[in-house]
Parts: sequence; structure tokens; C-alpha cells
Amino acid sequence: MRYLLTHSLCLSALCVAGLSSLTQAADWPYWRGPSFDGTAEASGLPESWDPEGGEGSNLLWKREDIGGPCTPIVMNGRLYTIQRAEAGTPREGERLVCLDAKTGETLWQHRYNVWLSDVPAERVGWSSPVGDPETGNVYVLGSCDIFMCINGESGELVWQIPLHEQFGMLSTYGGRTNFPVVHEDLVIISGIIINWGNAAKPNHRLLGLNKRTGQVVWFSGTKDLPFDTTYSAPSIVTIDGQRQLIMGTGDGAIWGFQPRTGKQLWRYPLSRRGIFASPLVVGNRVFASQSEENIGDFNNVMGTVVGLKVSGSGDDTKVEELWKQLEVVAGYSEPVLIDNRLYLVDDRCKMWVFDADSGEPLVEQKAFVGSRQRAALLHADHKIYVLTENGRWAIVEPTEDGFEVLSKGRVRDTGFAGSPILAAGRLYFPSTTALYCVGSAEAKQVAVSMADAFGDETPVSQNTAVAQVQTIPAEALLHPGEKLNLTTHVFNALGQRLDDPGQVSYEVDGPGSVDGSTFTASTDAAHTAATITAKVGGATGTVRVRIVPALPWKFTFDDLDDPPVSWVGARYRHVIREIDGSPALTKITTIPKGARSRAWMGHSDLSNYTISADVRGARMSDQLPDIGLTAHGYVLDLMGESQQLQIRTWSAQLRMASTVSFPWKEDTWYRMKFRAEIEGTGKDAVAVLSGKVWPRDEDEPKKWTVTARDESPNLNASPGLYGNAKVAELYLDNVEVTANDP
Amino acid sequence: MILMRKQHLSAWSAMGTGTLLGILFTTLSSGCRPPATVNIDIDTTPVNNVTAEASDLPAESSDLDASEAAAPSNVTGSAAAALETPVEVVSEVTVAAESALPAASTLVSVNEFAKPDQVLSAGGDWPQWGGTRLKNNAPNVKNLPIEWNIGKFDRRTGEWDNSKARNIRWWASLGSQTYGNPVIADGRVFVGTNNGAGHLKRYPSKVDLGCLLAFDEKNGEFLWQHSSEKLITGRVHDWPLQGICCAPLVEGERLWFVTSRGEVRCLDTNGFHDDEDDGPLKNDVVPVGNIMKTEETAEIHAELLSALGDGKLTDAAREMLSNAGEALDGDAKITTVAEGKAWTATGTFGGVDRELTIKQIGPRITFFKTLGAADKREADVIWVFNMMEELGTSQHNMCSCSVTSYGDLLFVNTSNGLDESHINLPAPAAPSFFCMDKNSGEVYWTDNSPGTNILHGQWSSPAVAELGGVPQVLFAGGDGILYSFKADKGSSGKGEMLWKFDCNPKTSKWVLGGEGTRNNIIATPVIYDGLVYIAVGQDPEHGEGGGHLWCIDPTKRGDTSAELAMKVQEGKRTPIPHKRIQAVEEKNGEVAVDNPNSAVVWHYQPADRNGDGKIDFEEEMHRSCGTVAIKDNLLYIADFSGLVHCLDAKGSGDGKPIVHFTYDMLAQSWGSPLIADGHVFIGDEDGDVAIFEIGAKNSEPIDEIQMGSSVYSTPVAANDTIFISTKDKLFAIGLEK
Repeated sequence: MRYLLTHSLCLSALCVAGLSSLTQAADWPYWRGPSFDGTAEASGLPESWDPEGGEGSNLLWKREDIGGPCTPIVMNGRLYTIQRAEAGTPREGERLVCLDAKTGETLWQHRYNVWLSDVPAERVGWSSPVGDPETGNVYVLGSCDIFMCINGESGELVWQIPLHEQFGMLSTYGGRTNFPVVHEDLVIISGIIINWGNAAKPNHRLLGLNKRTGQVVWFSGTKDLPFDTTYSAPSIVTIDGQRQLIMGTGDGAIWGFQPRTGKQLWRYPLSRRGIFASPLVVGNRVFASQSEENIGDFNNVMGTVVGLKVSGSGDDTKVEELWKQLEVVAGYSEPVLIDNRLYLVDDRCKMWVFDADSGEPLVEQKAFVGSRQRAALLHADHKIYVLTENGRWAIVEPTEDGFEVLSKGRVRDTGFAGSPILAAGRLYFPSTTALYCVGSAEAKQVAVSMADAFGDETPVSQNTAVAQVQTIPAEALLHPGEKLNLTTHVFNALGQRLDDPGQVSYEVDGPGSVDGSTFTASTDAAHTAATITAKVGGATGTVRVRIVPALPWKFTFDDLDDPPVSWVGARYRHVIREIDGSPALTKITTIPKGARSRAWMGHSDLSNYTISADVRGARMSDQLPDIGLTAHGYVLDLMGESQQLQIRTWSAQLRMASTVSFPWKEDTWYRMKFRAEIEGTGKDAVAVLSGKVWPRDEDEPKKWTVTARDESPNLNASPGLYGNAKVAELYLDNVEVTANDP
Repeated sequence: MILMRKQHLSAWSAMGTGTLLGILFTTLSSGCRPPATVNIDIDTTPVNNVTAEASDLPAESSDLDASEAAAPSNVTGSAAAALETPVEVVSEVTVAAESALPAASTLVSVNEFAKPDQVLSAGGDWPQWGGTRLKNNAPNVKNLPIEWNIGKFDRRTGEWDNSKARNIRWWASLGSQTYGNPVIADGRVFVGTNNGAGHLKRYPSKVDLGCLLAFDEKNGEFLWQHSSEKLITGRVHDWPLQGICCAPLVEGERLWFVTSRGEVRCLDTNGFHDDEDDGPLKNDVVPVGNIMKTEETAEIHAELLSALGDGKLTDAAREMLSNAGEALDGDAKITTVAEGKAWTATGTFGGVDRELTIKQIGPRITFFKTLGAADKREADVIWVFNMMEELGTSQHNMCSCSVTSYGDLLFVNTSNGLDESHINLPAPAAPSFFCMDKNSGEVYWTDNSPGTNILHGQWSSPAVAELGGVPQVLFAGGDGILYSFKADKGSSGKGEMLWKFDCNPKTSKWVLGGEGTRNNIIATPVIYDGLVYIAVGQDPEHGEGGGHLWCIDPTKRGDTSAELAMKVQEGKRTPIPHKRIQAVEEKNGEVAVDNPNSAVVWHYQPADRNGDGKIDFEEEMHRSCGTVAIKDNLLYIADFSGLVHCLDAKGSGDGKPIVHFTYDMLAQSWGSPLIADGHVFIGDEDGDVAIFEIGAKNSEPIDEIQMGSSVYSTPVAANDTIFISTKDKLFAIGLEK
């Protein structure tokens, strides 16, 4: 790939050397900065810049092939950003790109597929990677919810989990994607998750994963049935000696959690819709804003900004409202706190300045550069850098009276959806069409260690009583007879880890047993689940295990009241109902927001298999449903209204899709069969997909009805279902998954 | 990806039609000029192969009369006296050849409730979006203030401090988001919004609804509300909290509008204030409230179930009823209709003797009441036409068409569009446009010309005018093409397409998410002095971008686009069918050629007008959701990037626009201008209304008045008063009388 080193400034080698030596460790490993507050201690930063470059432009380099909504991060002199890959081609996917932060030169890229997702390709890169200074790893949530740990130096994959397949994480149709964060040994990620068992209902849930292995350490959540998918990013801070993760969520609230255990600490409802902007946490205060309808007495007023005070710890942690200003329509951009004043740019790019104690506005809704704002503010060197969504930018200076514009301009035919960042004294401005690096020879930046920025906790020695038990892994997917080693840790009320307990007792509810600290799934268990409860004194922790055998599988639904418990995303959206005298899996039209959905049946490492099922659609409101079977991350979709049969992998980018006309009728049972096979290996591997549909009562036709090839194949994935019953119900029976004949 | 918030959300463009693509339509009966001779391969098949013959028309005219007489809900006659403004109510419009061309011998005779020119010149009521079917927001209203002050509203209590208020006749609470534009008719103001104001006790403000509200024009007193519960399919069809996004059409005692549930509804403008439940739809059953079975309320639910079995109501049920405005006086007689499933309760509820129906459905026990003359705060529904059920449509995010009429014909854009994937069109065969009888709801014809070329949704509204002697209904399709059909009953369920005009350059490209150059049409076409005006734009969520504004001659026939898409093969150019993403891909040997049958009068697009060698922001026509307003040949339009443009409506005569000025409001504008009483009024997202003195040289506003919250709608004027709906309030602004 090409890169552009354009309009290089008259930066002498000496200057560059001086710059880097002074500021070598000033990283920006999280999109809001190492202190989660959009603020850096720096000097000598440019007061102006010219995107065209040239003398005096302060433009160090620009890359016109790096764009999109992603806010980059910088760690160890490398810049990381999430980009589209091979855009507009049948191989299109996504990639993590690593650039030399100083020169803009590409060092490596790690590409991956997007499958079974509605995210438009143009919205790839909505969230940011996060760097872990301790391991040097970089964590990325791909837009289809593949979660990856990548070696930050080499670009090699360390581990990955398809969170959509294994946990039912919902990738959105607007592109909204959540931001991971690293705390000690954990990487924490969240999203709307429609899971299994007692977590089958949609909920904005959080997963704490071992950052080195991807093993699930804890699984927590918010309130069931959230309003929206969201992308408010977490901050990790210490308040009253207690470490907290604070973020806005899909249920319209701001939440505090203990980051080591996932324990819910407090909740402050703020909006009738999901929270998109990330709350700013400084000291014990949380500043949060939103631009949708308010809750309670103010539900007919849109927009608000609040100052909250968090205090106490453990079960006594509480949140109180210090102040609330209504009709501040600020749902996207993140503010900065300067000299006890909150600088906030609203959705229409108007500046507000509030007294952080009283909430009294010093500046109200003042126009200064643009009319549309999404990006966060960056504060450094007594300047605020503002990038607007319609391509305008401003550098402003906080003043006694509020602020003063030092410089402003407009980059034509672009927008800034990503936020400005600062690392090693260099500013990075991500636009939809280019990435700009801006700086000056004099720039200096003080390095901040994220571990220090978390803040000082109450010494563990002050709270040694066991209050929480955590058994790892919190979630597992096993084969029958498979063993699972359990590790149990204990924590005090503040969520600090204590010495490992001497005595742990385990109880199993479901098909399996524990011997010592090893769980063994029953050999005859299939498509079921077990719960293991660990007890230490009076405290308990739980592990949820799904048990799914190797192929072949067959589901007749004859003895079931619900879809198999081990299926992810199936219960709540489907019921078992007798159709034509036989119980069938029925996807009903009345589940809010879930009438069009996907479900997954088990292991993601399965490959080269065939899924088949009896399917039938009802005609309701004169419309037919869409009925799909998924294999290897591809769907064979029997489309009702368009009377087509389609194989595709990415609903919003039909890159390898193949579609044939296929007339079919309501109230008729058909048999669908979908075969996925990988041909070739390594770089030559190709997925060959073949589907056929025929009236169930007739003989199976020899020929495939539709076939497709993918030269950027998904090598393995869980079998599953896709269904669109928004208007009309659909029914499945006799679902079978079998290994392909060799 | 969508959030279309706009007063009269309209549709987006896509590309051409499935079957008629790339065909150059040339002839039809009425007097258009013969096509210029072209040296290219062209199919000259007329649209739909329908030939309009003059002899059809008198028969049609008598049909219209007959249907009016037969329809019980037709109230044309009685409404005449009720109108404040003395406009001629039933006008016999006889359009003879407006066109100078002798072939235009078509005669159209149609009974219209009010003739557009009369509405425009009377300066009285403003009874539909754009005031009349011509959609030009330039009424002859006088005595309007150019200075006002809304006073101060306490953000917390909502209390109004009117000490500094000036020229505010009254204000009324709307929901939290308001995109339906106010309409003023017959002493009432109607506006679409959400349920944030909670005007009905049975629907507290936390319940999300699409609401159409009626207020008294004199004092802003709330009269009645029509409530549309949200579709269970959610945002793909019915975006949360966006309410009713259209403006109704009012003729006398009847009102028509499109709900957020994909229905066309006809209401009685009196509501139940006339003490009658007008039909055909009578005894409308609506929910009063319910007792939910959740983990916390399982016991309350079980108690009620058991009490109903014993012929009683529980205290919890009584409290719920009381909260819903149906407090039970004394005891109710409970009768079991179906054991454990359905009951009736007879008693005095909310001071009215009535029978409630109680049903156990799923996790809730719901109480229903039958609306009647006692329910003064409710809407009296005359008929309902469910587009999703009857036509199989699947709107993208919202149904938003502001309907218009021509005689007894009602024209509706269905908003049919893509699904969540933004690629799949779930109802490809469903119509985009249709014509129905405004009295009976009978569908005369449907059309799905945009077909699979729909880019996103379809949120434009139709306009109707007699142009070149032919009544034409103009529909902007989701393919970015403006279509004209003969405004009649059609034949065999099909409308007669007269012409179509692609509002996008052929090489422009649709890019998902808003970065492309191919645009939709959100705006409504406007007719002024025999010409048609339309701008392109996109869903506001897609951000800013370049746009186009067209002035089109509607007397041509066939494909009258500026360009034609051709493929060059063996030295020969052949027309190619329209394509959704990009009509002409030059890399595939396709070319855009000038159309000899082009109807372009002028085309406004970015150009280096000041000759400084680059195109400045101020020299760009950007995407716009806005509709033009024209008076005395001065055209005003605001674009989504916040520029107000003033142009000469007639252009230079050589296809070029004459631009008088542009003005940057530094805020996004979603609405359209009002021209009235010598001034131009335009609202913006920051809540400012800019006021210009009308005139080619008046390039700076004389004032910008803050309205307290965003003005996504379009200011309108009627009866010496300006009406502006902000996001959450409706203001009546006028000089003290």
C-alpha cells in the first residue's frame, strides 16, 4: 500500500531528534488519553495549522489513504487505527493498521473479516483500539464483534473471540461499536448482549477477559431491555479509595462498576435513550451529557449535562447529583475540565462553559466554528483543539471570560468524526478522508503512566474480609466429558483481590461434577448447560458452562419447551409451538427489536459442515418472512418478500454474495440445506458455499440451487440461524448439522 | 443511520425504474413540443403505453361528482360556511391550455375544495403542508410582526416568564421532538409531534407515541389528540420519539394524514366536540391502561386476575384507571366474557357511564374503552387505510408524507424503503406512490417506479398542479427521480406517467452512510408560474455534502433528465437502464450525454461564480431537506450546511442560475423559508429564525430571533399570524390587535 509523506515541514533532523528524546514516553494508549480526560500536560503546541502543508503549516505529515471515524491511539511510537480493508472489492474486510507515529509510514497491518453483521462498510472503525503498555498488546473490537488481542510490535494475532457467536453481542446497523479498556490483567469490553440462560434478554453487558488469554474472568451487565446500542467509552478511576470503571450504557444510565469483579456499584439514569458520549471523570466528580429526551419530570425536554459526585465504597457506594442543566443538547462530544470549568461543545458545535461546582453557565451556546460536532475535545498547552463534523476546526484558548479562538479553518470535502489526540508532542487529527499529523519543533509533552493515572486505592490491609468470590472462567463452552480447571479468587468489598482462599467448595447444578477444582461435563450431556457455584465462607461465585457435543447434531424440538439452553440468542426470540402436529421452533413477530435476529448453536472452531432444516413461513399482513441458516459465518437466506435465495456473509456489504430468484409459498414446508467447505490452505484457501431448497415432501434435488465462493474466507464459525420475522412468523424443524463427507 | 428529523421529511433519491429505465419517453397527447431530432438509439415507447384522450376526461369528471355525492363522509358543502376566510370553497376549475401550444386542448374539470391561487391570495387559512397543492410557502398574509420575543422559559419548571415577551399571542406545549409542520384551518391549528406533552391521561408523557394535536387558533387551547402507538418492529419502521412527521391536509371538517404506523387516516377536524362519532369508522376501541406482570408486579397481576373471576376490581386496577382519567365512581359490574381471558366492566368511569373491556393478553391485563362523544380530548377517526397491510409497504424509519389532494383524489408517498442492512429492500414490489379517493379511501392506482433503485427511504411529499393544460401530480422517488403522473384516477390501477427527471448527475455515486455524491430528495417539489423547483438532499444523519437545485419545465414528456446514461459499443451509443449506485460508470464504457429532451430551465450547483479559481463554501449549493419558496421571481432556499440562497426563479435563460446572494446562518437548517408580508423567515437548528427583507440585494438578515429550542420546521403564516413550531412548543406570533 502507498503512503504519503507530503509537504514535510522544514523539520531538521536535529529538531526531530530533540523532539523525540524529550517526549519519548508520552503515549496516548487510550483514545481519551492515559488519564481518560482528554487532557495532556504539554508545551509548545501549534496555535494553528494548514492541512495543505507547506512552510509554517505545522503539518508534519498526512496520509490520504487513512480515514474514517476511528480515533487512533499511540503507544511506543506506533500509531494504531482501525480501517476498511480492500474497500469496495469482493474481499473487503477490516484491518488494524500500525503506522510509525513519527513519519506516518505503515509498519504492518492485521486484517480480518466482517461476518454476520449489518454494520455498513463505511462505518468501519467506529471505536478505537486500546494499547496495553504492560504487554505491548493492542485490543480491537471488530465491527462484527470479533474481539482480538494483537501483538503491538509484530501485528501477530495473540487471541481472538467472536463475541457475536459466543456471547450474542449485537453488532449494529448504524456502526456503533464499543471501546475496550485495559485494567491490570483484564481487558474489559461491553455491548448489547443477547445471551443464553438467565442472560437471554438483551442487556448492555460487560465482559472482563484475561488480557493474555481471552479467558472470561467476569460477566456483568446493566438493566434488561436497553433502549439503544451505544458506544460511550469507559474510564477507570479511583474514588474514595475504590477502583471504579465508569461509563454510559444502552439503558440510558451512567454506571459505576468494580473493574476487577464487574460488581455493579451505582447507577444514575440520565436519558430515555442510550448514552453515547463518554462521561468525564475528574476526582470524585462525573460529568455526563446527552442530547435525547430526559427522564422523569423532564421527559419532554431534550438534552442535559450533569455534575455528579460519587462517594463511598462497596455496597455503600453512592452517586448524587450536584447539578443538572437542561436543554444542553450535547450527546456526542466529550468535554474537558480546565481550572474547575467544564468546556463542552454541543451537537451543533456551540460552546458551553460551566462552573464545575455549581453548574452555572459562564458561556452559553456560543457559535465559534461549525454547526455539527461529534469528536471529543483535546486540552493541552492551555489550548483546546476542536475538530468538527463538517470539516471545520478551531484552536481555542480558555480565558477568564470563557474562551477565545486562536485560529480556525475548514478542510473541504471531509469531516472529523474521530477525535484529536496528542502523543510525544504530536497532534493527530483523523478526518474521514485523511489522517493529519501536526506539530512543532518546540513541542514537549509529559508522559503519564496509565497505571498511575488510575489513582491510589485504600490499602488492601484495611479491608481483609472476603466479600466477593470469583471463579474463572466465568463462562465456558465444553464438549461432553471435557474437563475444566477452576480457579477461585476472593475479593474484599472494595473489589481488591485478597490472598487466595484455602477452602473452596463447589456445587454443580446440571450435568457435570467437580472433583477438587476440576469440573467434568457429563459424557451424555448435549446442548445443555450447568452452573457451578463456588463457596468461600458465606460468599459465592458462579461459573456458567454450556455443553455442546461434536457433530453431528439433530434438533427436533419434540421434548422442549424452549430452544436448547446452550443456543446463544435463541431464547426470548423464539418459542416452541406445535405446527402441523409437530413441535417446531417458531420465531415470533412480537419481540421488540428482536424479530430480526441471529442465533448461534455452539463451538466457533467448527469447519467444513452442512446445516439443514425444515422451514416454513407464514404470510402475515400479506408478507413473508426471511428464513436463514448460517454456517462458517455465511448465511443461506430464503428471502420471502423478494422471493430470492441468497448466500452472503455481510448484510451491508454483499461482497461475495450470490443471489438467485427462488419463488416459494407460505404455509409450505421446505427443506433447506447449506454446505460450507474450505478448499485449499493458507493464502489459497477459498470457502465454497452451496445451498439448496426444495419442498420437503419431494426428493432432494441433486443440484445446488445457489453457490458462492469467498476468496477471503471465514475458516470456521459456529452453525446458527438467521431470521426476519418482523412481519410474519417463521418455523423450523428437524435442524441438522453434519460434518461434510471427506 | 438515520434520523430524519424534519418538518416534512421527504424522500431520498435513488435511481430509475425497473422496467422503464433508460427509455426516452417522447410523445403523449397533450401539447408538448415534438422531441428534437437525436442521433442516438432511442426507444420512443410512451410511458405505460397509455394515451390520454380528451374524450376520457368529461366522463372522469362526472365520476368525481358522483363519488362526492355518494360518499357519506363528504362534507365539502357544509364546510364552506365554516371557513373564516371567504375563499370560494367549491371551485369549478376549468383549465384550458395554459401552455401556449395549440395542441394543449385537454380540458380538466374538477371540484376542488379551495383553489390554490385563492388560498395564496386570500392570506387566510393555510390548510396543508406548503399551504396548497402547489407547495409554495408564500401566502399573501399581512400585518405580520418582524420583531418578537418569546419571553423566558424556566428549563426546570417550564414556567413562562412573559415580562419581556412581545408579540406572542399564545404558545402551546408540544412533544419533545416536533417535525410535523403546523397547519391552520377552520379556527384550529394542527401539528404532528410526539407524546412528550402528555395531553391524555391514558397516555402519560413517558409513553412514546406519534401524536397529531389540535389547538384552538384563537388562544392555543388544546382541543384533541390522535395517538399512534409505536410499531413493535421498532426503529426500522417507526423511529423512537420522532412522533408524527408529516403535516395534515384539511378541507372543511375532514383532515387526512399519514401516521407513524404506516397508515393514512381521515379524521373529523371537530373531534368529538361536535358531540358525534362520525364514521364509517365508529366506536373506536382504545386502550386505557394495563396491569403488567413483571417480577415486581406478579402479585398485583394475579390478584386482579382472581378478582375479575370473582366479579370485582382490585384497588390497584382502580388506581390505574384513576390515573388514566377513568376513575370509577362506586362499583363496576364485571361480566365474564371468556373465563380467565376477557371481561367487561360496566359503571361510571371518569364521570361517564360506559362499558370497559378487559383482556388478559400475554403478560398484561389491558382495559379498553370505546371512544364516543364524551371523549372530547380524543380524535374522531373517519377511516383508516393501513399501507403496511394493504400495500405491503415497509417504510424506512418513518412514514412522513404530507398528503395533498386534487378534487376527490388524495396522493400519498408510502415511504417504502430499505431495511436495517441499508442494502436489502424488504418490499420490492410495494408501491412508492399511490392515488386514493379522499372520501372512501378506495385506492385508484399505485406505482412503484423507483422499485429496486430506492437508495434509502422515501420521505418526500407530492405536489399537484395543472401544467401545460394537464393536471400533474409530482412525486419525488427514493431513487432521486422526480416523477410526474397525470392527476387522475388512472386506468386499470395504474397511473399515467407523463415525465421523469433524474435530479442527480448520472456519474454521481451513492455511498452508504452519506459520503457519496448521489442524493435523495427530502424536499417537496414546488410549482411557481408553470415551472417546477426541487432540491436534493439526504438524511440529516448523513451529514453535509454537495447538492443541486433544479428548475424544470413540466410540459415535456418522457425522460426529461438533463443527461441520459449511454453505453458506447462499436461506436454506437445505446441507452442503458438506470442503476442504483451509479447510473454511469465511465470505467465500463458508459457515458452521460446531454439529453436533447432535457427539461432543465436552470440548474444550480457549485460553481466558481466569483472567479477566484476555486469553489468557495459560499458558492456551493449543498444538500438540502428544504423546499423552495418563491415570490415575485425571488426564490429562497436554505441548505443543510446552513446557507440561505436567494436566486432568480427564472434563471438566465441559458440553463444557468442567477444567484443574488448566499448567507451563512452558521447552523444547520432542516426547514424551508416562509415568504410573507415583504419578509423571508427561516429557522435553524440553533433555534434562531432569520428574517430578511425580501429583495435581491437584502443579503443580510434584519434580525435573528431566538425561539428557545431548535426550529426544525418551517414557519407558516395565516390570518395575520406567524405560526412556528420549535422542537417542543408551538408559538402564535402576531401584532397586538
